[in-house]
Formats: sequence, structure tokens, C-alpha cells
Amino acid sequence: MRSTETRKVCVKLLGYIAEMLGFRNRELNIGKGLRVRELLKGVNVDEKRIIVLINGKPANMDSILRGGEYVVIMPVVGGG
Amino acid sequence: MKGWTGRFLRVNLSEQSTSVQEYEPSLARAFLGGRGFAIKILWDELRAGTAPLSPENILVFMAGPLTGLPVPSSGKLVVAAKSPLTSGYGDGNLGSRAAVMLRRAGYDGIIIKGASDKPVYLYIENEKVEFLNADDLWGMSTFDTEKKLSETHGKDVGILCIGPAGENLVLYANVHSQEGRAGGRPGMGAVMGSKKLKAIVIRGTREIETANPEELKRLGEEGYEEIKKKPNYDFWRRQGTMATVEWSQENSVLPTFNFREGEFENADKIGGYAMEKIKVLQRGCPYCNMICGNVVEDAEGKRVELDYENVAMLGSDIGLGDLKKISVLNRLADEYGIDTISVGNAIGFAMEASEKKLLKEKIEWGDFDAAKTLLEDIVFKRNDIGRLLANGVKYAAEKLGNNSKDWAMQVKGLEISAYDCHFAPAMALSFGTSPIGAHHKDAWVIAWEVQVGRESYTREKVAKVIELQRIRGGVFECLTACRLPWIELGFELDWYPKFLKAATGMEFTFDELYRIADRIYTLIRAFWIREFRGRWGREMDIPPARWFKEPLTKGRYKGKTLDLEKYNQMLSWYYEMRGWDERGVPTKKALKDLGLENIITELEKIITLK
Repeated sequence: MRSTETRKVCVKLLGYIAEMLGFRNRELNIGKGLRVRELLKGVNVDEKRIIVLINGKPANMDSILRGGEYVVIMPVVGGG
Repeated sequence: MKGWTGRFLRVNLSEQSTSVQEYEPSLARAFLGGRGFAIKILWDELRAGTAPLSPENILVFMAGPLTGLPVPSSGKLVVAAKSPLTSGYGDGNLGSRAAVMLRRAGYDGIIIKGASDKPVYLYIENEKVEFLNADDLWGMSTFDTEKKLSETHGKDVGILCIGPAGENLVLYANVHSQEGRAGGRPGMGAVMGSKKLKAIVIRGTREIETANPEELKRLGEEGYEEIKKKPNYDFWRRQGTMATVEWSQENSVLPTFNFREGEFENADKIGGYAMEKIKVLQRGCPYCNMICGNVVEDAEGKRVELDYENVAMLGSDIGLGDLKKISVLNRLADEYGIDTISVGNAIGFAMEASEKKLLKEKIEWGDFDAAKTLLEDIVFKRNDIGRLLANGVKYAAEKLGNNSKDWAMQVKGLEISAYDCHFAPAMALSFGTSPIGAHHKDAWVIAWEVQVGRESYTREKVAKVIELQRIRGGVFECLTACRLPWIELGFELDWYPKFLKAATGMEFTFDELYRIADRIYTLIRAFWIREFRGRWGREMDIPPARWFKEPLTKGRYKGKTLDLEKYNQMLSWYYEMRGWDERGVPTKKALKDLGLENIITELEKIITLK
């Protein structure tokens, strides 16, 4: 039964990534689950300079979301 | 020599005399430029124990082999001296037309000794150097000083100046240019003020001779195009460093209430998006196509350029969540010529001291009017609290006692810049080992640390801090070019040896550039040890107790603190990797390996080397 449920994740995007995807905070349906990379499909980002945190822990573009997570995707910004 | 002009202008203010020194090419090969030249000169020529505000201190302005050439973000220079705030080595860089003009006038640097009896400013036009009366300028803000000097000398000059804070010898007064470009946090402006030197005006009309001008032009054009293609270029131009407010808040490193917390409830009101709503103008340094100077209109209807550090330290760190009011404080700091980071720390320290009843004055968190008054009390040293805080938070804590040193947020006497480190051990090490005291310039390791995990205290983190110190504190501070194309947009480091080859005709590998950086770090360390004599110890490299003893009370990292034992382990690894002993003192072997064997005898007069 569970496999047919639509699962959700909370996504927060910072900096230019938010501009490219057109939102800063959003709850997204992820079907049965998906890789972080698929959230950024079709968007020109520099993968080496992206930080991914899932529930506050370091993750990466290949990490798999299964539902219920809080995902933050941010650039390596400097600020000086 | 090509790329370098091979010449320093030497100025003696006591005698009002000048001379030109043609330096040995070996100096350029061993120390590259900028910070490298600055520390070499200060080590060789400054007598140990010199009072920083005496005429005997040496004020140095240094450019590097890329300064003023048509390659990305090369319009910067370094200002250095023995710091009156820390009593150790102090420097800073700023973007200014003066950097370009200095090189076009035919100099890689200016070395200033002595002091004038009366206010003067220097006017330099190629070979001509004049000492001009600055009575009318004394007391003027940095903005008005530049305006006046542009009226007198034309708009096509480069100007460096100080404001009232420098004149009044506030120990964290800095040097200013172009309404908001500032450098020399550890009191370089006070050193300039102590010499009664109000400004330096430079007009240079010569070509900077390079080894291969066509190749340099081609590479430069390609470089600028490459920067424009980076995915975050457009957004960077919109928000610049101000985007970091949101980033720091998300990662709980936004300094809040004098570094008690890492999250601020009004962060969204003071960040990049809030800035965009009040932005009126954008500007940049010479030879830069990233132009990150975001000019806004403040609560008093005046214009000011905002940056992350300024806004965090004059905003969240003092509990102020109104960007237009923060902008007023930022503008006043720029007009008076005082460092925004240190003065933000000083105000935050005073608010906490007031809360703890260590001060009779009532200064509440987030009280804009009180903060503004206090800022002026400090600049003009017009009352006890102003005089207390004008000497920095380390000094203020020594006077106030009651363990206030635990929350006087500084390392080596320099106030910490805007990253809270309760839960960022590598960034704490970066502040701890920065060669000018707590500053983010040398090893901004926080983004990398967030990426790899914040809990751990590993050799890998220590190695990363050193790698960043080599690149940022070493290579960029010497070139002198801005590090932001690389760190912010991902402009590859490989460009720089190519630029250097075209400019100087010399091949530099990264191994050699990093060796130069290590030589500079070790010489700066030797400078500190020589100045501190018996008082030097590894505690000089440890951040304040707050981060170790007082956990975060809010946010997703509630309860986190640094672990002192583990921090000390990282510090030991740091020393080991640098070839320094357990006291943080360079070993004889390290000095020999870096070609610094000639300083062994002098250091051994002070301390036994291992």
C-alpha cells in the first residue's frame, strides 16, 4: 500500500539556485523517492560548488530522498 | 624586471624627504608582492618593540605583480604596519584606483617612516612627490576628504585617506577609498593618523611594463568572459556578499547577540533580498567585472555601500533587525574611517556588559540610537565608555574584569569577523591561526566545513585551513588580486600562473607559490614572536572561552559548543604541518626549508628554537 502514496520533502534553496528553480522554500512531491540531482534537472549549476544538507547532515547530489526529509541546497558562497 | 616595476617610493614624513629604491629581483621571486613585500620590509626594518603609534612605526602600502593590469579584479593593494590594536603584524587589502595609479606612477609600493608635526597629505605624480598642507582636511570625513581632494587634483587620481577615527587614534581605525572601500582592520588608519598623514593622492600616467602585453590582454579578456559564464554570476551581481546573511542563518553561523547565538529572528529583514529592495546603485573596484558594491539609501536618506560582514556585525550581532538603520551605522563607520567589524563587536560587547551591569550606561540590545551614539563616543573618544571601547574589546575586558574576557570576541586582540563558531571547529581554527588576529580573509573554511560535516576535529580539516591560508592569505594577498572571482564564482586558480607568466615572463608552479605563502606565514609568525618576546604562547591561537563554555541556546544546533581538548589537538596538528613546535614557534628546520635561515640568529636572541 505504501508504495502508492505520494511522498513529500521540504526543499530550501539558497542563492542563485533559488533563482534558477524559481522558489526558495517549497514542499515537493517526490513520488516513490528520487535523487537530489533530479531536483536540479535542467538547471545550470556547478556541481562541485553545491552543498547539500539533508536533515542538517552533509549529503550530495546522489543522495536519495525517501520522503519526510528537509533538504537544503546551497552554493558555496563566500561573503568575503 | 617585467610585471613588477622594481621600485619602491620611500617617504620620510619627519624630514619631508623622499627617495626611490630599486629593489633586487630576488625579493620579487621570494616574496612575490603585496603582503609578502610588507612583512619582509617590516621584519627587516622595524626595530622590535617599537610603539605602534610612534614615528618609528613603518606604514607600508604594497601592490603586486598583477595590480593594475587588465586581468580580473586586480585593482587592489595591501596596507600594513605594526598594529596598535594587537601589537603584532597588521595588514589589510582594499580595492582602489590608488592601487592602479601607484603602479602607473612607477612604484610597487610606498614605505612611510617618521611623522609630520602638522597634518599633511602626499601628492604623487610619477616622479614628483609633494608634501601638502592638510589643515583644512583634518577632521573631515573620508567621503568629504575625497570629494575635496578630487576637486583640487581632478577626478582621475587615486586617493587613500583616513577619517576622524584615524586622526583620533582609535585602535581599529582603517584606511579608506572611494566611499566605503576599506582596509587595514588592525588600526592601519590609526598608524596613518599618528603620522599626521591625512591622505595619499596618486596620479600615474605611465604604462606598466609587462613581459607579454598581447598575451596578457588576450588572457585577461578570456578571463573576464569566463567569469561572466559562471552560473551564479548574475545573482552575484544582484546581491554580492549580502546573500551570505541567508546562508549563515541557514547554517546557524550568523553572529547574534555578541556571538552568543548563530541564528537571528530578523535575519530575513537584513539579508540580500531586503537589500535589493533599497538598492539604488552598484559599483566596483577597478578592473573588476563582478562589481559587488551594493549601494543603498539608509534611514537618514544617505547613500552607503553594504556588505555581509558589516551588516552582520552592526545588525544581528547587536540585535538590530532594521536594514536601513544598520545602513546608517555602516555609513557612519565608513565616513569616520573605523572598521565595521571591530566597532560592531565593540558595541555588542558594550550591550552585553550593560546587561550584566558591568557598565553604568544602559545600552540595550538592538537599540539603534544608543548604538549610533556609542559609535560616535568611540570615534571621538568623548567620554569614558568611548575611550574604553576605542582600544578594542580585549582591552575593554581587561579593564572591566569579571570574566568579561570570556565574551570579548577576539583573537590576538583583533575582533572576530562575522561567523559564529560554536559548531564549526575548522573555522574556529582559521580565526585562531589567522596571522593578523581573528579575521576571515585568510582561511574562509566554513563552506567547506558545512559540506564535509561539522562535528569532527580531523587532520583533514587542519590541512584544509592551511591550504586556504596558502591560496587566500598567501597567493591572492601577494598578487595583489581579489580572491572573490575564485571563491565566489569558481574562476579556476589555474588562470593565475598564466597571468603571472604573461605579466612577468616567469613560470610559477603552485608548489612554488605555496612555498612563498608558507615563507610569508612563517615570517609573520616570527614577527609576532619577536614583538611579544616572553609573552608568546599557544594561548595566542585560541578563540575566546564563550565558544567552548557557553552552548548555543537556540536553533537547530542548540546545545553545541567547541571542545577545547579537541581544538588543542587540531592546533597541535596545525603546528606540526607548518613545521612549528608545540608553542607555535617555527623550528630551525622549517626556517631553513623556507629559506629563512637568516632570521634564526635574531629569533634566538628572544627564544630558544627547536
